[in-house]
Amino acid sequence: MSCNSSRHFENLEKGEDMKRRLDQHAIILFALIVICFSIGLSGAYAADRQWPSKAVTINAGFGPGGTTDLTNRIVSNILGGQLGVPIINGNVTGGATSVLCSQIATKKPDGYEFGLVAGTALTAMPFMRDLAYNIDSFTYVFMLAPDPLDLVVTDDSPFKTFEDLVSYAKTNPGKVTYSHTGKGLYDHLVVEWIAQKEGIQLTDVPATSGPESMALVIGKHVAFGSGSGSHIPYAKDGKMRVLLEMDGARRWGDKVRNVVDLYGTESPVNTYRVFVGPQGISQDIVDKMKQALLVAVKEEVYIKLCDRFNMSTDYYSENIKELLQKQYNEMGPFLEKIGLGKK
Amino acid sequence: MDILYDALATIFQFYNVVAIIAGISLGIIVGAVPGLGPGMAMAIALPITFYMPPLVSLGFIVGIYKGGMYGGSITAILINVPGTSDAAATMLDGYPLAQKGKAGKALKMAIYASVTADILSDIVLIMVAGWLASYAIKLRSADIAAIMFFSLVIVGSVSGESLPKGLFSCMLGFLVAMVGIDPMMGVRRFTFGVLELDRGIDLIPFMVGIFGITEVLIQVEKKISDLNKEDLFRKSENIEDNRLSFKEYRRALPTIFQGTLIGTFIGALPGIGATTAAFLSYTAAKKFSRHSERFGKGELNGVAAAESGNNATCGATFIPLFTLGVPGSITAAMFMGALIIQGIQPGPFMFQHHATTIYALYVGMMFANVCNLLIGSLGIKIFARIALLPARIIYPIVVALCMAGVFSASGSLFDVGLMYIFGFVGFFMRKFDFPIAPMLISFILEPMFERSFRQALILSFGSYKTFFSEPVSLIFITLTLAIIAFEFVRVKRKGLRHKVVKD
Repeated sequence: MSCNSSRHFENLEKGEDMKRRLDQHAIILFALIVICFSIGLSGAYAADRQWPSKAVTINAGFGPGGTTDLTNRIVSNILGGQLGVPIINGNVTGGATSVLCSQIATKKPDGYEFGLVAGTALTAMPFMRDLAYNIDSFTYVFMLAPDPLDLVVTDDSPFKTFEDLVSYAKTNPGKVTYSHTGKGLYDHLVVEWIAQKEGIQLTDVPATSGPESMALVIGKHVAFGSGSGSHIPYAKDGKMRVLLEMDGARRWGDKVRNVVDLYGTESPVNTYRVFVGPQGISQDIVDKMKQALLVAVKEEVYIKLCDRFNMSTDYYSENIKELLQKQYNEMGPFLEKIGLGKK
Repeated sequence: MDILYDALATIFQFYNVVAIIAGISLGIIVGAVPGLGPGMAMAIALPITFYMPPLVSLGFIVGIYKGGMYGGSITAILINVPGTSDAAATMLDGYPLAQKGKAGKALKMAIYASVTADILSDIVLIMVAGWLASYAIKLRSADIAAIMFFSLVIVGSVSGESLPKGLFSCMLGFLVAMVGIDPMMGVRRFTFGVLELDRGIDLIPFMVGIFGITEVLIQVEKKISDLNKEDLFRKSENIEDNRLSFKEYRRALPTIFQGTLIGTFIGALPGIGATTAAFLSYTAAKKFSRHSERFGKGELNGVAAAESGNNATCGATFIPLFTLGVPGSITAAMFMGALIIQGIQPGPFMFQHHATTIYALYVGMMFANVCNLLIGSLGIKIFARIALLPARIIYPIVVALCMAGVFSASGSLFDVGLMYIFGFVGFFMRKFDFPIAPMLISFILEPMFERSFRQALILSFGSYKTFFSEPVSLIFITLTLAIIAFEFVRVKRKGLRHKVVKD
């Protein structure tokens, strides 16, 4: 009997407990509804306010951990402070950023979706593959300077000068090998452009990253390497010799040949990294983004990033479309000639 | 001696120690969750390290790496879903042990084997890094291709009961890995006009699908009423079942040493990776064991072999990075980024310019191993409780984690869809007794194998002689052919014996 009554009390207590919990739940639920409403209202209100009123997304076209991703995250961090809204960073990888380009091209031009993509995805890729976008599908916001590009050999290579290399290649067509980071990428196309100018035939060995490409050079598996940044520490330490500055910039003094001196012009291939949005973003928004980016690229942390990874701190905020359009016009015939056009 | 004293004084500062402990804890968690992994956590942490002092940053990143390497084994043992692909070999014996109520024992063996192998591998890194690396860089593309061919055949030939089924699984992995833009010529393969397939199929949706979703489907197939009634595992009354005696550890030591050797060798080579090392170590342990029939049914040495194999790559993967500036794996590439962010250029000159920092980092690595052991051991008490939860609670959570993990890795719902497709593929493969491991290994190795194979042919101007002209590739190709012949004879004999019995 006593046992039963204690259970009875327990049940009573349980009932009380349940009630209290229900009350608590009701309060929590009410609070949630209020929060949801206020978020909803602020959203509606925000739509009427000026840009930016909510988080802006800027995706990088290469994977996490690489320089493009690092640049994007570090610049976005400063940008968020400037614009007063959070910046969401993601990675949409593939096809040397052409996958991200395709995605951006289909977005609403409301100023909340941007991407950091490779210049070649805009100027060269459309000639190489069937893509869902072209150079007119975007609003161009800001452009960061190209990576350095040098022709390098090991310090004990028989090629002492660029001329040595060319004359050997002329008598041995196809026998000179070189490594780059991927078919159709900047460091491949520029070498092919030079080969065309010199009338020589080279054999290219694709690797997948700068360090891997340089490993082929150091291991003496290829005759020379097309160095797009990863070579700089080796060149500075004397393990590699630079024979030609292939991007036209002057880094290594008078002894090293420069493409501009040789051919009077830079190659039409570039490795700019471009902040783009979908076509039709209002000029007002573009200007605001530009202002914020101009502040970001002058911040110490960004300059430190460029310095550590041997990237140039130069940038372009005006006439980006025109610059890319000019290269785009030259790319088609060039890719056709070297056999990389659409098949 | 001065430099060691400096290193000790530098690393054991409050924030460095906190960073290592935080890194290890974070690593164990991301390692355990299918779809998340140490590589991804390192990538996300990289931009933040910009605002940290060097050793805080490097300690944190090393912590994530080492913790993640062990963390993957937790879910592999407890729910038959590896947290990272590196722990896929741990499943083979870890899960059967857990089913027998010995989850605690398996987890303890995993942590002890991991930490032992890790310490030994770090010692190799510190002592003979330069010598190994100068050798690794001279390996030609043809040599690397031959070593990969060897690894593929070994894993394909021994992982299942039937050789044709193992080879089929291997080929399927190859096929899936070939989807996307061809790495040498930039031509589309097997994309069927789907833009998302241009970039190929990532490891994460593939791995999470064939292990995570497959396991859930297998469980769903069992009647729901059964799931409600009984727990997943037999509960063990015997306390010894969840302890690891020193005797058991000592008995596993030869296996651990062997795993360390294999893992260190594989780790020092570029591109092959921890998953392959774990499977090779497991295969070797099985081959050389007096009780090879016990493997796959809950053999403690199987866990020791797999975990020592994958963790031994931890130190070794830094060998080419530290001595030549060439990262041999994705995690090594992340670590390279972390070093460069701190103004340390990895490579031959790193020791001249930053000796104190690097020696402090070495001490920090050793300290991280000890932390891994302590935190891992503490965690086991909590993790082992997962095994006591009923399946109807565990598996819905697994599905949610798989989806979240895959989505967060790429931000693409397409990948989540792929994960489910591979889940069904894995389900039918397991139903029809096709081994899944060879598919994973060939998927991981295909890009590197194809690239080195084709690079070798470009460099030899199309001549296949390059594979037989130098000792390394010649040795590995001969070994591979010998194994194939051996397996062929074995299968033939077995067939004959069956015939005799039937007659």
